Amino acid sequence: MLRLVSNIIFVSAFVWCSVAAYAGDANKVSIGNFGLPGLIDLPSAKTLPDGEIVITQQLHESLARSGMSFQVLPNLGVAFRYSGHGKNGGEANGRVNHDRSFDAHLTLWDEGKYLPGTAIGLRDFIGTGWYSSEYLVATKSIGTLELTGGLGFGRLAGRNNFKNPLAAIDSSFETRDANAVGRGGTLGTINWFQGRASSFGGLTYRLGERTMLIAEYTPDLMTQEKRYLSVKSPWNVAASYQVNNTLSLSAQYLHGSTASLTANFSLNPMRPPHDAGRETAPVPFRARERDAPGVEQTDEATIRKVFEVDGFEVLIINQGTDYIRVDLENNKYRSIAQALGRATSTLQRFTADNIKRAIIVFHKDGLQLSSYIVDLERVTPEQFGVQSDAPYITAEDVEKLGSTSLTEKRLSWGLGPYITHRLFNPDLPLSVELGAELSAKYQVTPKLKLEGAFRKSVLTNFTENKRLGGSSAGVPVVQSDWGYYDIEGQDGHINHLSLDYVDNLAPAVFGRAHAGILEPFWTGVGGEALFMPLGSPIAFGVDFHHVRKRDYDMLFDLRDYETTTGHVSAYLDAGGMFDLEVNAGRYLAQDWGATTRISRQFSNGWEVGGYATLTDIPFNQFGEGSFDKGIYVMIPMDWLTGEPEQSKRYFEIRPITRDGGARLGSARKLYRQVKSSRDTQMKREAGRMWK
Amino acid sequence: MQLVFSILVLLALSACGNSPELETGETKVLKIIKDKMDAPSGATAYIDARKLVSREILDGVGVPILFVEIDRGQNGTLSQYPGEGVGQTWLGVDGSTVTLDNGILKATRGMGDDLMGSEISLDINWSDLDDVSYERRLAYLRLDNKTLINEYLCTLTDMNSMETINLFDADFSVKHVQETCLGAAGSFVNDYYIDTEGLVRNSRQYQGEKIGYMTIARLDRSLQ
Repeated sequence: MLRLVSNIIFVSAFVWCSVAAYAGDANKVSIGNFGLPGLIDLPSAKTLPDGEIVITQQLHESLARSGMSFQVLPNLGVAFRYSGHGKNGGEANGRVNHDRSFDAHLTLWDEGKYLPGTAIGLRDFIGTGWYSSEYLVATKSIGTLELTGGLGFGRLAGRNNFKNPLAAIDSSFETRDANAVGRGGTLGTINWFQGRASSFGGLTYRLGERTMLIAEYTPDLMTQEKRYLSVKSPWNVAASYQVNNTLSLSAQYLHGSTASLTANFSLNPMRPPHDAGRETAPVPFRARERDAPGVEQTDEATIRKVFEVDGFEVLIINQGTDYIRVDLENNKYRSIAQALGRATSTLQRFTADNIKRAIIVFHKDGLQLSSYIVDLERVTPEQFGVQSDAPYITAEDVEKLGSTSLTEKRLSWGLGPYITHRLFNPDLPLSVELGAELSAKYQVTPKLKLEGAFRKSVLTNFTENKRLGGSSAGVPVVQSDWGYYDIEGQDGHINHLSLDYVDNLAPAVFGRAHAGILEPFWTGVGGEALFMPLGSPIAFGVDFHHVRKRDYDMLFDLRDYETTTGHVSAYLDAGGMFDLEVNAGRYLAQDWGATTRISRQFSNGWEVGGYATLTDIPFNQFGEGSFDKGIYVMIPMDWLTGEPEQSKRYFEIRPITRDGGARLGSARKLYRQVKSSRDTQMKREAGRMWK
Repeated sequence: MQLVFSILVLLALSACGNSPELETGETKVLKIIKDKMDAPSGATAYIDARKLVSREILDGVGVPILFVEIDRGQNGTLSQYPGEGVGQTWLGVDGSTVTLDNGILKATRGMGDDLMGSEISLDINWSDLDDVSYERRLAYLRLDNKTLINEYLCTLTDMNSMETINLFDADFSVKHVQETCLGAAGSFVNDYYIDTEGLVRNSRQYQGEKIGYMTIARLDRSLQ
């Protein structure tokens, strides 16, 4: 399920190490306790840099607030948080309750020479509405001083409230409709900007590049917190310190009674720790003009040697009268553009003059993923030129490679640590398991492999979970009993053990079938097919599985429940910022519906997205959260290390894990695998071609 | 948490296998952190090629040698890449390359923030530099993996001075030429020292915003 916190710890630690020095930025945006541009608890009208990701942790005597924010668009930021409120209560760490909330902050216009920046925002507009409020805010800088003022609604309309000025436009703004939240997780009652209003304000004074002093006047009466929090003053004050480019700390005195500390950890896909990345130089092109020294013989031995150094496994090299075809497995470069550039450089230099074209075919795990044709003469000026669109390299479908023998060792294995965690259990908000994983792969043929992993926990608090199960009436229990798996798998369990077969079924059609222990909860048989035409931003897929639930000890015993699940999928690679994916079909609990996934794609491999699944299980039957949804971040490791590396880390936050909309994690893998090598992805990062 | 982290590090250090493909993600991340922590902290100390290379060695090897130094102090000697390329590419022992065209910096690789490529609208003739003006385009890799092209209008000025420079205990008689370039992205001034054979013997050239200027000197006496 969730692997968020351990990943955050790792990535945070690494980035912390990577960012050695603070490059002063007098325009650094002050981030509030809600993870978006703000003073302390109040918002400001500033805007975070596009793509900025902020992880926020606030702690005081009666509050533990953890959140993650993302600047989705240049003018739109969103934030998700999980807050533990109160003290001396019955939940974990003595909290009275735990609550998830979701905010949006829209910049209407940025600050000008005379005009203040202006933004509107919604706080906690999905779910139970603990912080439910809206604002219109303006911020103006005068030298080192920033002045912020705004109008608050909902919870931000407490002290000195007055008639809603928007009522002059429409009388429906005059009275705020009561929240009808149902089972949470939905927009509930749309009462935004309704009801009475209050004004708020504050100022920020920059004391040098790193330090800010902040004061704010908040109209929030803290009504819900008053039973455990002493609210003596509407004034909050803070001093914040920018430790480096990544971390800022804020020490605060809130409500005239409470000391509080907030840490904001900022990342941005467009701010890699190692700038453009470090790798050794590619082979330089040779001159191929008419008067250049001729090369009569293709140097295949050197080509193979350079390919090996560049992390390519050579499946086959074929030469014709005027072309050379190389079939490669790229094991080093995440960027297909860079891999293609490396292969092109080697072939341009070491092939004979009669070789005019290179056909470079990329394979991975037995699938022929993409192929490119390079005009070796006309491409010559590009390596050290200023062309950026590589016009002499074109993607074309080529004949499928015939049968090959295995060139790699058949048996591979690895032993290393794993970390898993669970979030959002009010009794145990963060539970972590650390253990050892033994994995092995036996490559039977180039397209058929047997692969598995066995896990044994070493340190865990999964066993302290007392909230086991959580099924809803009438809905088969397919994953809400994850707590039982956590406990009974402690003696060691098979994470997966399956036989996998892949093949190119036809031009642009890819297929995969697998059988065995597919994932921790499920065993079965199934497969998928993907149609992804060359050069097309659209792809279609279908997957189908018959599965049976595994027993809680995750060894070889099975439970009674079995079902058939499958989806048809459509994928749109918008080529610019966003990708869209829709999967429609039957889910594990035998419910019918569709999952929509939208993700912001960065050209350096980062992906930040979210998904929601709506099925024919009604919200009130689904249970808390109303429907399945989540947000995720995928971070390419080469972004972190600055060195060529293919793996990525996947972090997902799934607020509620229930049975409606549950799907197999292993059902659809082809799209991402194929897409990473296709021309649409190559063009996204074409600048990296000759790096 | 410290206990957990310590155990993780121990597990990562004891991680093993015969294929990086089957390393767990945690192993990969922990190895990166360990490498980072093992790296020397504080100011990076570079090996100074000046202390390793002498005139005697340079004359003894009898092959073209290029000396390159960037502003932050890192330097090294590079040997010529064999064969005829697009420009003249020089290879360092660290796997980086510097490509020159008629002595003018055309591209770098393996330096992180590389000059990916460049174009110049004129074939420079170092012996005839009266009122020479031309355009230069320098290409860089943006952080979103797109290409950034900076355009400059440049002029070359013969400083009308013959002088003697000393490179690793050898004197060379050179002419000083200065290149001034101005563009929307800023300006830079390059200095070239041309010897009597028309070879750029020494120069200080702008590589880019991050690396700054590079000193590029041709150390061997013989011309290739």
